[in-house]
Amino acid sequence: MEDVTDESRRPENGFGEKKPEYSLWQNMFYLLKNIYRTDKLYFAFIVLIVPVQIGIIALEAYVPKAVIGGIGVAESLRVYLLSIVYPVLLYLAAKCLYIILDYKLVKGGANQRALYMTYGLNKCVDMDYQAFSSEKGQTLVSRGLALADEGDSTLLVMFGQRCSAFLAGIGGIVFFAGLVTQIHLSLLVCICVSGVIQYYYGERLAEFKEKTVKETRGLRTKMRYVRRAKGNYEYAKDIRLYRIVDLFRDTERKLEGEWECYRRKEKIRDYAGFALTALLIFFRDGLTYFYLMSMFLSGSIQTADFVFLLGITRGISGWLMDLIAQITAIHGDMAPLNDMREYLEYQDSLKRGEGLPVPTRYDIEFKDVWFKYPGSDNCVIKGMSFHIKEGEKVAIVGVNGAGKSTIVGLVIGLLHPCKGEILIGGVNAEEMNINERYALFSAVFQDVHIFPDTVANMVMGSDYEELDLMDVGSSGSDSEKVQTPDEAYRRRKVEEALEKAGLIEMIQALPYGMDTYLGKMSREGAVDLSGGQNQRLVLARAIYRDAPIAILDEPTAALDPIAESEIYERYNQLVKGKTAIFISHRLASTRFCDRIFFIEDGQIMEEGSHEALMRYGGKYKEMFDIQAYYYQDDPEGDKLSASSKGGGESR
Amino acid sequence: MKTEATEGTRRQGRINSGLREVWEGFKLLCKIDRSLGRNSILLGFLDAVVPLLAVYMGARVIQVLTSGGDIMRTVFLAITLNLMLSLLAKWVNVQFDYGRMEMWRKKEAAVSDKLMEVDFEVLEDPRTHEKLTWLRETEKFFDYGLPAEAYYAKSIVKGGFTLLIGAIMSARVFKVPLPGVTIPLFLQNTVFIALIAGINVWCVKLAQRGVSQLDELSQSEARPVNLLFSAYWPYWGDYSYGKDTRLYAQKAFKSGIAQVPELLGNVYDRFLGYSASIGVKNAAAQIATMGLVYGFVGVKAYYGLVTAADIILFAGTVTLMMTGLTDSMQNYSKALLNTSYIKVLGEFLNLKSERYQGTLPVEKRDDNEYEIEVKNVSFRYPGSDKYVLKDVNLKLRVGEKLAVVGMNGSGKTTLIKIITRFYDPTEGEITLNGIDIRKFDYQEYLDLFSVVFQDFKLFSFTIAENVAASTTYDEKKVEEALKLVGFEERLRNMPDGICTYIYKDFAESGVEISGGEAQKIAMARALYKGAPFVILDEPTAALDPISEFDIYTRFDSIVQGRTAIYISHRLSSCRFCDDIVVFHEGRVVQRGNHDELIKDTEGKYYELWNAQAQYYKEQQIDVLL
Repeated sequence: MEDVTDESRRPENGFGEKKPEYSLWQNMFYLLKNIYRTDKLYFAFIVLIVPVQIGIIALEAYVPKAVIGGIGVAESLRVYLLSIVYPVLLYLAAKCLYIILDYKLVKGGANQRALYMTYGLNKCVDMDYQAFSSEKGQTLVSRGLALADEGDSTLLVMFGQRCSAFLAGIGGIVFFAGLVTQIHLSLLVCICVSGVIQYYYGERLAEFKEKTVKETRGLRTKMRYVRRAKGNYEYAKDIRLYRIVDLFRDTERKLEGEWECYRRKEKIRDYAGFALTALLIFFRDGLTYFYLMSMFLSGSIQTADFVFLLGITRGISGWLMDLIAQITAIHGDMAPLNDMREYLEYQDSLKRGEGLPVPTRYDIEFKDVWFKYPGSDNCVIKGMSFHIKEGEKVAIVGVNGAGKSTIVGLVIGLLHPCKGEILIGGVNAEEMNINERYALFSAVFQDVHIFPDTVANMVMGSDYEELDLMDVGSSGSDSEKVQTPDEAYRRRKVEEALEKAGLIEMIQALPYGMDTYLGKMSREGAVDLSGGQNQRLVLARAIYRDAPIAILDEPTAALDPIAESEIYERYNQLVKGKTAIFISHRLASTRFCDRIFFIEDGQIMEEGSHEALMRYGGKYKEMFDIQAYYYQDDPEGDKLSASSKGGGESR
Repeated sequence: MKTEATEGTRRQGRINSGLREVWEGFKLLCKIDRSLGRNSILLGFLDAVVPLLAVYMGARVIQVLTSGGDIMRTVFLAITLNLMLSLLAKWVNVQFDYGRMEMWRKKEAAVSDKLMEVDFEVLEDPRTHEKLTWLRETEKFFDYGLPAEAYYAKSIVKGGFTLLIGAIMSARVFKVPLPGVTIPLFLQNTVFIALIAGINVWCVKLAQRGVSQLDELSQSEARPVNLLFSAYWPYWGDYSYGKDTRLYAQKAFKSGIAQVPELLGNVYDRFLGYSASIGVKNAAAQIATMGLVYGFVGVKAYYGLVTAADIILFAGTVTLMMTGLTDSMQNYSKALLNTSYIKVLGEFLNLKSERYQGTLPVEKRDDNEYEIEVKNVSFRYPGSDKYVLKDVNLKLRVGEKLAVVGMNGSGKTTLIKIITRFYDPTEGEITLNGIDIRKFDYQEYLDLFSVVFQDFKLFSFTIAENVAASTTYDEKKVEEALKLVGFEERLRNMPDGICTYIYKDFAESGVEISGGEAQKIAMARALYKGAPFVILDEPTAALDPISEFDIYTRFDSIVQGRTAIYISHRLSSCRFCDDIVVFHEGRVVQRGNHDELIKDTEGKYYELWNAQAQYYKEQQIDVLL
């Protein structure tokens, strides 16, 4: 992520700061420190497995030596067989110990991964929404989660194994170097030199791959888009009707050609690496054979020693290759690890656990509020000031993109002004505890999202503590449990909310009533509701919360007129006795509001009651007339002035 | 006795059908990527030969050392042969690995290609969706899918060759009897082989049971957790869900989050624990074999009946044979489980499309004299017994503008799906100029319609490609279409004119457009197509009043004298249609123009109209006063 300097961005947003680039050693230390802090046993296993690994390699070379060396030397068959049995049993013990320890390492690694995943996901729901929803924030999050989200072979799971392999490599080389130099010093030199060559090549290869990953990012995005679009059910009608099939196939073929080119380059370099290794092994073996043979021919070693030394030489060089592969692998994972650390170490300035006390009256005041989205140059809200009295109901109207939803975001605390102050009950809202601030609102948003949980839990929202994930697949077991009085009370409240939202009959008809799971895709026995029903469900959630301030953001676009007019009635249930903000471009729905703000270009252009604004005859009236036009008994009449028509087109 | 025999044949049959199923999987693999299929066989062979050759050459060197011969030549031959074969095997291995990596993408491409051409009915069938989701979910377990199939094929081939070549290589040791034992040679060998085989059978059984138990674990425990996890995923990563989580479910999600990794961890732990226990037993078996082998051959060597080289050769070969066998049997079991995946995928890729049965070409007419008639059509979705349309009769007269209104779920959109043959009617028929539409070539028939669906989609390509629905287009015509729908001014602000990419999914330089702008481009696409029938389904639902009005006023220029169907629940938009059809619960309940329909105060139209108009009317009176 490049460093963009944008003077208006709040410094606490963090994106402006330089991305941390930790070195390999810093990162290894970071991971090891966290392991030591959270899982001391895992840490111990990483160290413990090292001697076992060295022992196994030694025994693997030693057993054939014992078998061959005993021929004609052992005084009896019994002694001979025992000289084989002991090392074999030792080998068995070491091997079993290794498997168990290795299992402990993978398990420890999996736990670490789960831990980072938990940190990462917690951050998702907790981090400042403004930063979270910005383009940079989304990149930060998706890259930050990638490492913990990948399959089994990631850095986090394998880290312990890689560390121990690394240590065993060093240990093994130090331990057996003496034996190799016994053959010839140049052999040790040869092994080390091939190690260096391999390391160097591995690094170059990793660099090349990293470069390719960067270069192909755009290409891969394109391929993914085409693949998903082709298979997307929602696109199916248009694809068939407009014969878009060929457009997709042509595009895909072109992209695949490009992709193959990159792959071929990678493939050849990968192969070159293998070929290099094979060549190095060729030289190493040649050299080893040469020295061992001359020793054998000069009579300084026997056949058994020949076999043993050959095994050890191969073992050491095998370790070295392993060690190098481990370093290269860990090194290759540094970029995603840096991404993860950047995300986890990101700090916002929201007040959690501290902050000013929540107010007891609920009027809302904007004082010269300015706002622009991070990364954008245009202010969406330009010096807006208004005061909504406690219990007052205000409608915000304006064309799409005028900044209506932004105002709502600012009020709730999802977005933060870059200049000016927002006061709720006279208290500077930015200084409040963020979670207590959220709790002040019963909001219904434009997009309806249904939680993959029971109807009751969906309606209760934050009010329920435990999410019974263990209960996968067996809906409705709640009803069999003994209910605490508190729970019974909450369930009654849910019922009431469902009733007020006009959904109770429908919910009661479900197989498990309000304990039925939602989200067909999430588990067996779960159901999907229709669009209109979902809309009522989110309304029920807002009613249940019964917070002092109600917010309704454009909620009726997809409803038919009768359902629409019915849901307006339902909204009255929600806003009764509350401070309320209502956003809609169906102007008729603003009828039950005390005051209307007409927003244009980030400013309040007109404000007042419907009657007053109609009398004023400004932009609001113009918009209302346009909408009412076809509903008039005589639409051909001259109520629609030429000027208003022109106004419509200039936009 | 008899039952045992049938048991035996049944077993035999099972193995045969098992092999056949694995073979089917391999054929599907070859169908999607032939070279990967070839490489997996070749690599299986090479993977068997390379280590066996190394063992053989190692033994040769020892033999030459102890009993004389041209030592230099042998060593040189050993390491050179090893180099050559490794180079070859690695080459095939790289091809194989890349093939496996690319397999997923190739499979997805094949599936999505298929999805573009299957019948709409299949596409909207929840079972199709379930199947594809199942495939995707199943692939997440590494034991399933086509890349896994390639691996199994390789492993089975490798096991076969290892056993075959290994048997020949190790034969020498069996020819010499154990000294000082009175049992005949044949029996000695039989006992030894039986012992080794016993351990091996135990290993194979263990491996196979392990495979099926792990699979059960993954299906019964890991899958539900995974499903749930994917369902929750957007709530974490997707910002549009962020408002909900912050305002309503933060605590719940936090406790949920805390549980998900733990749940995944538990399942994972059981997997690992189980694998480890199998691992320990396997290691024990292997080392027991090793002990037996060294003992068997060692005793013979002790008495000088076989040489040190024989020990190296025999021990090395038997170890390779044993791991090769266990490995390939384990992978065979996995391949058997994978057949469930292969079957679902294979069936889907082999689906035949019924829509394309019609062959009659559609007559090209410059005068657009096409007449469509809906005759006594009733319709219910497959698998449902509720009629969505009942006895609908409708004639679309040439050049007429027809409005279809009604509440949500009254059957308006379904009617369009029937006319465009996304579905065929359950009862009744639809005719084009008097001929049943099922007889026409489907693609040509579809070319008669320009439809802007309620949930129309634009693609993240250039504006021009979107309008023309093709990579090649007539620039003038594209610009003209965009001008007609009122996109001209916005187009001037686009960085690359009609070659500007929209949205950011495809090109980073893409421009985000508003819902109203998207609407206009979709209409331009319909215009560019220039089909004789224009259908607009709820085109203004997401628009603000001014954009809405803008679209209404352009309606005439968009339709340009073609036959048009306009679907809406916003009745204000019907005013400019000559003919209005009111749908209610799947039936046509009223038909006429606005003035006629509004007079019937008992009718559905009146009810719908007033539900909306009330807000505007009483206010209007105020203003008029």
